[in-house]
Amino acid sequence: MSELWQGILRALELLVTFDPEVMAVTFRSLGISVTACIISALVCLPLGSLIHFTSFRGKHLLVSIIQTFYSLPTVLVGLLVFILFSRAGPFGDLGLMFTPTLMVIGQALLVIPLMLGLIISALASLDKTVADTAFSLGASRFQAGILALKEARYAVVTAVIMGFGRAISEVGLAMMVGGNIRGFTRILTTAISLETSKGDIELSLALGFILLIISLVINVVLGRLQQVRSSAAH
Amino acid sequence: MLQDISLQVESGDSFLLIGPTGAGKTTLLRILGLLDKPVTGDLHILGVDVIRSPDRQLEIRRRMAFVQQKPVAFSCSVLENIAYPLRWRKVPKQEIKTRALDILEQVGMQDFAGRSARTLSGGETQRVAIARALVTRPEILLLDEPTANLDPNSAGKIEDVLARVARERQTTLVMTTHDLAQARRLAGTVGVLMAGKLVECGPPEQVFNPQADSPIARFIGFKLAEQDFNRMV
Repeated sequence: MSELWQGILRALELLVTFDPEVMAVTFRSLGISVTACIISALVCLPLGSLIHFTSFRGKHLLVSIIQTFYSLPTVLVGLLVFILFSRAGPFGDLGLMFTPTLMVIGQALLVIPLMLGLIISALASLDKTVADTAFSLGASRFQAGILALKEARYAVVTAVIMGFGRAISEVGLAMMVGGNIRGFTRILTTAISLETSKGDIELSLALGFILLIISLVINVVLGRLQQVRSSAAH
Repeated sequence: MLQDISLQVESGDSFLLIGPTGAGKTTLLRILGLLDKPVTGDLHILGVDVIRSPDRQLEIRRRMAFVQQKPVAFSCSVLENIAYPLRWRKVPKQEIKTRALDILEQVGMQDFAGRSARTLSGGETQRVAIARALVTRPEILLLDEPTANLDPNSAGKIEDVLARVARERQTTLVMTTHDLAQARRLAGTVGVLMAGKLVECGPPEQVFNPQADSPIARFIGFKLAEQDFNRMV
């Protein structure tokens, strides 16, 4: 117990003194996950609008498939990315294996189904009259889509933040395609995994506190968005 | 469900559609507004076969405007709401502001320009929706019971605006209403829709003098008695 208590104190010290390794891992994690989220949002916002506003056969099936992939195991996505980008894979020549770039691609692939499904749900929960009003006033499909995203902005931002939450907390994919290389591809989750297995509880705890703080910030922001959305609706 | 609707509305006419609740008035208006597709048949708007020319539908929609029965305001200021359709048409910024303020004054909402449109009452939202449609200077204006949520004073103002627009700009009005007196005041042509069928179509003096014991006579007689009762109360 006293070892655990010492570990906690040492972890707090690492945080308060902005230990270079802790900070490097933290900023790298944030950089990779934020980049993956931005790429996912750039794909999901127009694609979500297109799927929502277009009638086609199999639309409900497609949405069901997207929702099925919400809880896709991260190691499965990691495996797929590994196969595609390994030396023997179709994209092996790009030389991206064990790089932050590939981690970004992997996290984006992981997050896209969740973000896409939530954006489609956000647009579906909008009053149908909004889109009808836009079309009846001469909006093109693109313009109506932009308007719908603006009207559903709180739910859309929630979708993006939830995507970020999934990205920053995953470990399987980052380990498989990043390799957990110190100073290069080591991020919060892979570092915690490694340091715990080495028995360096203090560093693991420090990184764990940071991950906890990030999760707390995400939750507070989501909660605030829900409040703003509720008061806007009334 | 609409059945066997054969209708021609002349350019510049004010066509008022009356009928009992559930007759299909809103459905017909939505089809005319290109929000819904008919299962069969043809639809020509401004000389364009819009069913067979889907690539021209945006062009036609931009020459029309539709005020829905329960209009919705976008989550921005009243002025921004009015500005939206002008922005979509790439009207210059300065002209957008001028036209938006002008139309707000015409519907009596000039003091609400900066206010959040989501805080408006039902009647105020309706007036903003009408202004939003009128600001585009449409050739065809479709209105689904536009004065339903308005007090008599505001309804009168809106009727004056619509009458002026129809007169000065030769705008074709297609409007549904439960108010037969309004239909008599505004209509050049009245259509009676019952159970999905257009049972009568003609000038007001013809439609409001139906044969006794006809379904139209019963409907009109009932509606007039209802309106008289409401006035007494």
